[in-house]
Amino acid sequence: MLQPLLNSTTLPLLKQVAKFAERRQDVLAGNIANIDTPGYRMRDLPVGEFQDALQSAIAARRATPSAGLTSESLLLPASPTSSTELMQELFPDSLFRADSPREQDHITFQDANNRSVEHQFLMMTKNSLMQQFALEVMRGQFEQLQTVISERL
Amino acid sequence: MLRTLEISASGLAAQRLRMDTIAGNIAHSHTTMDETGKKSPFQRRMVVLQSQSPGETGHRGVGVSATVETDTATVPRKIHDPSHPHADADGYVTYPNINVITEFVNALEATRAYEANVSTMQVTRSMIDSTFRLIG
Repeated sequence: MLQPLLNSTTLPLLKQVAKFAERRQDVLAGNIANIDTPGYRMRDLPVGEFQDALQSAIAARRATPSAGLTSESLLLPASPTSSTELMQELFPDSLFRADSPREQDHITFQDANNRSVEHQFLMMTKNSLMQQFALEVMRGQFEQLQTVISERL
Repeated sequence: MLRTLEISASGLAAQRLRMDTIAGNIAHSHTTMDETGKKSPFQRRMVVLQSQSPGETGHRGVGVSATVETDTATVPRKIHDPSHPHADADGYVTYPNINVITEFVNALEATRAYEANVSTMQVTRSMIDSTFRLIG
């Protein structure tokens, strides 16, 4: 029943942002763990592609505002799959995979490792801020819903 | 997310093993006899790091594994000291193939790498914390 209510906001997009940030932290932690491993190449998720996907998802959402809440859609039995499928289409699994390691443009050391601690931590900090931003906005929306449900401020 | 902590933990374990090995090398930098009492200099140990096999989660981050191996490539140091009980016929004592300066530099490197893994864990923790705050 809540599905149309939840899907009409930016929550599905924020979920993707948080998911991406968590997956990316995983890969970046792996880079730091392998900072001294000979032959290891620094990996990353396709950040640019994800941002593009996010942008087009936002654009698609703006273009069809009626896709969300109407009084009918609230009364109709929810179709929870449609939104999940749409998200699956907009954000394919390949965006969350590091199996084609992005080559990072850093000096390769004699042991064939292209480590750069500073760069890794810079990306990690940015990534963590992005995740916290997404979660804070999500929290705000949940609080709004709570207010609506309890009908008092 | 909790798996991310495990990756950092593998890095911590690997760097700690390196530190252990370095400490052993420095402690044995002048050992000329093995544990059985035989006249044989200590062999330098070194840690070999390898990224863990990605397995089915190969598209995610990978941890690191470490193994201790013996350094047989570096030649032992020979110092002329005929008064030493372990000196050979020419008066040379064979000391382990350990250069204390190299060991100290490696120790610094291991310390910094350890710290980097700890910092990563702190970032991961703050991310987990903010995820949990969504619930409460």
